[in-house]
Amino acid sequence: MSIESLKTAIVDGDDETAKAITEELVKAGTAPLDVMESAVKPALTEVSDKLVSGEMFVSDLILTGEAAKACMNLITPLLAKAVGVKYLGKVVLGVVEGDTHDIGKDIVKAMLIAAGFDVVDLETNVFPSRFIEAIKEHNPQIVGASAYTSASAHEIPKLNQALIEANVRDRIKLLIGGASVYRDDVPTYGADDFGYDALEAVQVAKRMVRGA
Amino acid sequence: MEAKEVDEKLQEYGEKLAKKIAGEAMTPRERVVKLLNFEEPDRLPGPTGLAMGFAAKHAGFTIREICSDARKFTLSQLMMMDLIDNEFPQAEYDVYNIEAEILGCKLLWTDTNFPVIAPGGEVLKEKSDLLKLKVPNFRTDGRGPYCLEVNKLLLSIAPGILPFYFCISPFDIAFKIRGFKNLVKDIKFDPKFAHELLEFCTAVAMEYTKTLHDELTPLGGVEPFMWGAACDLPLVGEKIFKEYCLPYAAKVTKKNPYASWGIFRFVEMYGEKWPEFWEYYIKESASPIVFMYGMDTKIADLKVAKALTKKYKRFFVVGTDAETIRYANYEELDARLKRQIRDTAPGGGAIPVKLDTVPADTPVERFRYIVRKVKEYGRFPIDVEALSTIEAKHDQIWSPKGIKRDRAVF
Repeated sequence: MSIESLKTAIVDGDDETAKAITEELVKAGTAPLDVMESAVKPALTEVSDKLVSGEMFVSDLILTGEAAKACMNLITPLLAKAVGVKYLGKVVLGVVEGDTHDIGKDIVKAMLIAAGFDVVDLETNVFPSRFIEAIKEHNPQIVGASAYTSASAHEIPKLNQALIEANVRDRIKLLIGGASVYRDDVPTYGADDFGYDALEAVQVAKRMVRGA
Repeated sequence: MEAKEVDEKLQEYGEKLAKKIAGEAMTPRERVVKLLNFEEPDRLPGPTGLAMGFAAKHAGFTIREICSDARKFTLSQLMMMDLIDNEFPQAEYDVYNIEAEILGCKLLWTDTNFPVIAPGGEVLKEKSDLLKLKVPNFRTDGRGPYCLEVNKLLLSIAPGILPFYFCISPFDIAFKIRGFKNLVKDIKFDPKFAHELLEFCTAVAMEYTKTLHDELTPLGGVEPFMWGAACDLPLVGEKIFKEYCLPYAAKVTKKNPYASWGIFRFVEMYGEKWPEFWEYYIKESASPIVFMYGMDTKIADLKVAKALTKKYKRFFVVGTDAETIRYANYEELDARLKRQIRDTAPGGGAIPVKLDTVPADTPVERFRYIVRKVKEYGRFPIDVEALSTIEAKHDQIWSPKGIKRDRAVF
């Protein structure tokens, strides 16, 4: 039961093994930050790279995401309590209204947490009013909105408009992504930036909080 | 709109369409039958595609109305065909949900989008739930009657109208009723169960394709086509495709040889080796109609694709991507339509332009433009020389790796 074996379990998409190893590591006193930095983050990075290169597919990424989630469900509460943990920033994440595809969102969430962000996950089919509530409650620097289908991509500009009308738009940066979203959509949708994949989403998020 | 007004408008638009078709050299049906027989009609039919949301918007109906009321769906199609000067309906409703809903999945409906399976709405949550599922009777269960009524209305509303009718592949049914996460987990960690699930889903697809054939083909329809978007190669990879997607779809097409299967992306994944996969899919699927979609025109030479479909006597449907429809400027759109028609229309045996999603807010003139150009460029004999005047700068590709458009990976 080692960090390396946890990384392997996550890459392999074995959520039960990932959970069991994480429990053992926590019991043995392994620092949660070490688990994130040495197992979760490298595993997700490896799978994301392989997705882009064509060695792995979205179906592999789903299993990896589930395994990472199984690990992080145990680690995240400990991270919050750990002395010296300083979050880079806070991100509210959600899949827009009418869309329930959460694969990408879950991977981005895992990568953001691994990178040191505090993430509030609104899950799927998130109406603009829920995003607005979350902004007021959690004061994030960033709102991440994803859309998988062509139809739901059109909810993003509506979300942007709703944030403007609720006078919260200038409190946050709007980061968009999802299989039906394009880099060129950023200005037309009123967003601030775009994540081509989870890796880029994290890089952009880091840029956003540094510039904040 | 009240039922009486719907019926009045159905009659009005039906008569208008019938008069328009009567004034042409051939009916849409005659054109498609010629193409199916590898012959050349007077011209290509106007393009079909995923424009149900567009149709609903312009008819003043909600998505939920058109997906549950066959007469409203049909009227929205007639009004759309009138608006864009087309004669090819798009009878695809929310085709990915019909079997899943009948089997017990819960749908999430919103005001503006097509329904999806609600979070936690999959019927097959526990593996033991599979034992409780029965193959539906599509003539009586759920929205099966609605689907049959839509197609029967379209087949009867004006002479020579020819809707294609659709259902989904066994793998897509499994994807919906089990949820993708659980399905890929089953495939990796419990393949025995995954195969049992696919066997059940195959039985469902066999029953539905047979029902569509028995009910609609005698009325003059084209045969059922199983959509397979869940079989997208970037989504599932080659191993899952070859072990779980294709074999079960092929079971259906071999038992019901009138049924076809397709609609998944593969060109970008295989790059220069795409013809090998294309030929493999054509042969192994035993599908009378084969579909190419999500293509990168700089990799996929459509003449090569057509040569292979002709070799195996398969009817070739060529998809025009949602990205092209949505983002291409008119020169780029023109270039894409010219290329698809030039390379696949001559000699019949193909529908060179089948549109992917036409968003509801697509400008009417843009959609009219596409229809007009397909009819213009699709006059037989095809003027190959004229359609070769494509400027390289407009002949764009739309891959996620994005020379022109950078689209998110997932």
